[in-house]
Amino acid sequence: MLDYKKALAKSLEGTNEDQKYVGVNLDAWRLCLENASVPEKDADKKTLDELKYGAGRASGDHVGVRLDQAKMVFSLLA
Amino acid sequence: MTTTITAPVMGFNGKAYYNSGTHGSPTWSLVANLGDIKVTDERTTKDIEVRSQNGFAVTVAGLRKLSFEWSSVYDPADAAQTALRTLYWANTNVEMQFLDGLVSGGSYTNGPNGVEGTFQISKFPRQEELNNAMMVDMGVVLTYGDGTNWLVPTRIGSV
Repeated sequence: MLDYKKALAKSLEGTNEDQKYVGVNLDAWRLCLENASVPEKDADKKTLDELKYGAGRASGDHVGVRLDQAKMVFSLLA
Repeated sequence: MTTTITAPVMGFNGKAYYNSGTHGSPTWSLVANLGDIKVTDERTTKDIEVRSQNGFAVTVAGLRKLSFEWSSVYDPADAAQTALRTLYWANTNVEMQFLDGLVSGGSYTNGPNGVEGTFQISKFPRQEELNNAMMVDMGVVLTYGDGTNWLVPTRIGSV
């Protein structure tokens, strides 16, 4: 099975704060979103729902997502 | 920003993405089925003819117009093409990026360079030449966006 957490960690590796987006493997990203725990803040819950919506309609082997949102999702992974 | 380009960036490195998510939480999906991308990025001009210019007709630059055109192989199974066609038929705006590399990489130290904005799909004809694969000629024009930052193209770095 795809190690989605490791894949996201690899995408986040070497990013810097000036960077707006990060590219992630789409399959890994979908698994990250599926397996993310429920955020405490309502705003983060809304973001997670929106990201799931976007990933569900996405195509191709990779997608670009906002770096801050990718980091938030990573923090929600066990 | 310091650039690190030491060689020409070939056109095939350029990437186009559309946002399959929301404005606040974008998910940029690659549009891979496209060939040459023709870019129009120019200002409208107006001539001014007044006596103070020593006999010259002078020109001033006005608003900037931005559009992209490309051809794709017609493919009903292409998810990106289907998504764009659906948006065209519904006359719905689409957020797109046209970058000089992958959204995860690029030629510069802090990400790829290019244009990101809200576009309207201006054409989507399927060409049916007898002795050729069916092709779709797509065109997008910068349009009125749904967020202040998107009324004009925002930059990831500089174009």
